[in-house]
Amino acid sequence: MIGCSVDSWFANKAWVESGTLAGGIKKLDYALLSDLSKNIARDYGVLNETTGFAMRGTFLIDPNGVVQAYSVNPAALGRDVDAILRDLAALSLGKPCPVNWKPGKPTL
Amino acid sequence: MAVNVGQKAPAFAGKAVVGGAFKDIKLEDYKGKWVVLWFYPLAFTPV
Repeated sequence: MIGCSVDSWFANKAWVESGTLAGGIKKLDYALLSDLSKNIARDYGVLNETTGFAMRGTFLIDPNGVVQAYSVNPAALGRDVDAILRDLAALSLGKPCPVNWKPGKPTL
Repeated sequence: MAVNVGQKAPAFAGKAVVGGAFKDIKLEDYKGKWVVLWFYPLAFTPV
């Protein structure tokens, strides 16, 4: 799991340590990556060139480094974490999963 | 879209915060594992 933004690593550290401050988060055990040059967001096609910030892109990358799924939300639309976990569960099974499949349901 | 399903994910490297400490990471470090790479506009944005 890697979160990525155009923030500096200092801003990301402050965010991770912000706790109950407004907009703060609790401690994370995964990486928050700084993309100050904006090259990563640009490479992944999620840089909003007008604002200079990344859109809410989510990429599922398999153990061989191949992109298996992605979705992109605008800044004002938060992600559906359950949907992301469902996709990850389905993909890591390596079997065809039908429409509305949920973890624990039969595969095809 | 610069990235397509079924294609190699663009390589990246940079300075990250992991468990409160600064660490240099790269995509290659995660070889053999599934990776969820998620972009967000800015720290402290609540959406």
